[in-house]
Amino acid sequence: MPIILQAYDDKEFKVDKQTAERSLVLKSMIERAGDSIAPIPLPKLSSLVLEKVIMFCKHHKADQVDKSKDYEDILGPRKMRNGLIRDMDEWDKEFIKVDKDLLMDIVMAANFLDIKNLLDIGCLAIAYMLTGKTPEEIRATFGIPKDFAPGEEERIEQEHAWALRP
Amino acid sequence: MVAQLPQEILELVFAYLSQSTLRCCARLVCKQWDKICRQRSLWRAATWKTNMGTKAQEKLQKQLRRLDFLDVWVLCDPGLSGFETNRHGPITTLSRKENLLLWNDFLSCILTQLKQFQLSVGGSRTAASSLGSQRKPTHAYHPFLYLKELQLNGFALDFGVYLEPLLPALTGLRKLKMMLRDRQTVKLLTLLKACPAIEELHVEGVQGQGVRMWVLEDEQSGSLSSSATTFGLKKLWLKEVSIQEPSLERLLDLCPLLRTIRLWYMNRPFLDDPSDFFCHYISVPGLLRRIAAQSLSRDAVYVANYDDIHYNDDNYRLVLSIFPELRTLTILNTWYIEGWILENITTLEIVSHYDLAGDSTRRAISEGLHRYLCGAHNLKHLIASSVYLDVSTMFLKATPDEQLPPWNQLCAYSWACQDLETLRIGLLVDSVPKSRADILLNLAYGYIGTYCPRVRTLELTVKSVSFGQAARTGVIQNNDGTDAHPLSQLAGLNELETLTLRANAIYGHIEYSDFEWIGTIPDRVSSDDDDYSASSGEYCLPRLESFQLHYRNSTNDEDYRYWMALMRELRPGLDVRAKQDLSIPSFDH
Repeated sequence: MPIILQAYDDKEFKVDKQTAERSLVLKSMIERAGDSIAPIPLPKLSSLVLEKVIMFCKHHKADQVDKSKDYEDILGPRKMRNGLIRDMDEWDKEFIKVDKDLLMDIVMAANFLDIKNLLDIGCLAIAYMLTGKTPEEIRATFGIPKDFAPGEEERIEQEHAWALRP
Repeated sequence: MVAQLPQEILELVFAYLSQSTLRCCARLVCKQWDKICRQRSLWRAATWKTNMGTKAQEKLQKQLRRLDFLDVWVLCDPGLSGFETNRHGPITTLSRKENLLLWNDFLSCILTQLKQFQLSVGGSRTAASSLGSQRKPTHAYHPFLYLKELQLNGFALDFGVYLEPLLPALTGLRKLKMMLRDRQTVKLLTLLKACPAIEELHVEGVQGQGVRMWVLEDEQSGSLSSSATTFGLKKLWLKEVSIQEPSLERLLDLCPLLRTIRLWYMNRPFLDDPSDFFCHYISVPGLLRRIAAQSLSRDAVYVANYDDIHYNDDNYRLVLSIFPELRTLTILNTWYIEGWILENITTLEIVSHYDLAGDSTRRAISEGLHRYLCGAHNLKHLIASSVYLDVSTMFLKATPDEQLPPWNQLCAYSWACQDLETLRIGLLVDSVPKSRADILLNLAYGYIGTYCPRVRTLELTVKSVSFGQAARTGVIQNNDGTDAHPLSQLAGLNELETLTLRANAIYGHIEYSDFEWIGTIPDRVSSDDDDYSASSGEYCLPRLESFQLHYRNSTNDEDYRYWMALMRELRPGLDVRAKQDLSIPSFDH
C-alpha cells in the first residue's frame, strides 16, 4: 500500500511502506494509523528536498536497521570522525554532492524525519566543507555574522595560542 | 544556512571535525560555535589503569597527544574493579616499593612519550621553569597538547618523583587532582608556573601516613617579590595535608581569583591543641577573606539535603565545623571574627560532629549565631540543622559591647537577613520552666515568620510540638480572638515552598483547627500591600509545595494519617509526608 507524502508546495509523492519506514517519524505514524493512512503533510519540506530524501530512502530501503548499533553510536563516543568520508559508499558520495543550501535543507529534513543515516552523511558533508577553511572563509561561505565583541576573538585565539600551531 | 542550523545538528557536525579544525578554526567563527566547541561531549577522554593490558596501554600512549582528559587509576589489586570503594575507608597499607612499582608503570608510559618527542625532562626544576618561559620549540611534539584535566587517583604518588618530571608537559592543564604519599613537599609555585592555566587543584594526602608538608617553594623574600605574576587558580581542595598559614596567605596573594577553598583534616600532626584548630583561618585581602577549616570525620553523621541549593561562584560560602574538643571560648571567638568577613557571606553552613542538643557549649554557639544573624544582611542560605538555637537568646536584649564588631552592635535584637531563602535550624528552649519554654518556642515561630519574610525552604527541628488542646496556650490568637496554633504565625511567608517540621515528640492529637489556617484564603479587603494583592485568591503560603512532619517517637500513628488526610483536603496537590526520623536528637540530657 503506497504512502502519500505531501511537500509544502502540495506536490505529492507516492512511496512504498518500506521506503517510508526509513524515517522513524513516519514509521511511528504509519504504525499508529494502521491500514487507513491518509496523505501525510510535511509542511516543512519543499518538494525538491523531499524528492532527495525519498531518493535516499529508496536506495537504502533494504538496509538492515541495526538498533543496537544506533544506540551505541548515540551513547558511546563517535568513532567515525575523519575516516568516514572514505568509508561512505560511492552512491552516498554522489548523492550528497549538492549545493550547500540544499545540503542544509536535507540535513534539517533528516533531523526532522529522524533518518539517522542521512543525518550522518549530511553532517559529515558539512564537516567536510568546513575542514581546511579559515574562520573568515567559513563565515563568508555560510553567511554567519561575526558576533564577537572587540578583543574577544583575540582572547579566544590566545587561549590556545601555543597549541594552535601545527 | 549553517548559522540557522539548530545546536543539536551543529554538535553532530562538530563531532566529525578533527580536533585541530575545532581548535584552530571552528571556535573562532562565532560565539555559538565557540560555546559548542567547549562542550565536554567533544572532549577526548581516556582512562589509564594499572590493570589494563599492554596493548591497551600502547594504544593509549599513541592517543595521549589528543586527549583533553586523562583519568589515572593506580590500583593495588589488579582485580579490584574500582578504587572508589577504598577511597573513603582506611587505606590498606601499601609498602613503598609496591607503590613505586605501580606508579612506575604510569610514569614510564608517559616518559616514553616525552622522550620520543625529544622533550628534555630530567625532573629538574630548571627544566620545568625554562620550559615555562619558552614553550614554543616543543609545541609540535607536545605529548599532552590539549590535556585540560588530569586525575591521578589511587594510592598516593610521590610528587617529586612522578609529578615533577611531568609538569613541563602539562602546560595547558586546567584541573589537577592528585593523591600524595607521606612526607612529600609539594612545590606549589613550581606547579603553578608550569601550568599557568590551572583553575582547580585537588590535593589529598593519606591518612595515618605521617607528615605531609605542603609549602610554596622559594620562600626567600627576594624571589617572592620578584615574581609579580598572578595565577588563575579558582578552586583549591586540600585534604590530609599540612600547610603553613603564611604559605596559604601567599597563595591567596598569588591567586586573586581563588574563591573556593576547602580544607579537610588539615595540619593533623600538629594538632597538639585542638582548640586552636578551629581558628585556623586566614585573612585575605582579595575576595575570599577567610577560610574556616572543615573536617569531616568518618563517624560524623550529618543529615541534610543540599541538593536544592545551587552554589555559584558569586556565592561566598563559609562552612564551619564544631568539634567536641573545642572549648566554649574558641567557639565564641569564631563568631566574633570581624564583621566584614561574615557580612559578605551568602551561604553559611554549620556542621556539627556530635550531638549538640545536650551540650553545654550550645548556649555559646546559639548566642554567637544569633548575634551573627542580627548583622548578616547578605545571608541567603543558612544550613545548620544540627545547631540548636536557644530561643531565649533570641529575645535577649543585647548589651552594647565595645569588643564586638560594629555590625554586631547595630541591631542587637532582630535578624537582619531579610533575604534569607533557606533556613535549616534547630530551636530549643533551655533553663526556663516548661510553661514559659512553650511560650518562648511559640514566639520563635512568629520571630521566623517576621524576620525571614522571603524564606523558601524552612526546616525546623524542635524538641516537641503540641497539637489539639495542648497547643491552646492563649498566646497566639486568630483575628476573631480564638486561639490559633502557633505555627499559623508562619502564614505570612509568601515565598515559602518547602516546610519541614522535625520534632522529637508530638503531644496531643492533631485537630482540624490546628491547620485550618493553611487552607484559608487570606483576607485581602483591608490589605493595600502589593505583595498580598499579587497573590489574591490564593491560600496562605501561596507557593507551598511540600509540607513534611518528621518525628522521632511515634505515639499515635493514627494522628499522622489523619493529618495527611487533613492536609490533602485543605490543600489539594500539596506534597504531604509524615515519617519517623531517628536522626532527630532525643534531647535527653
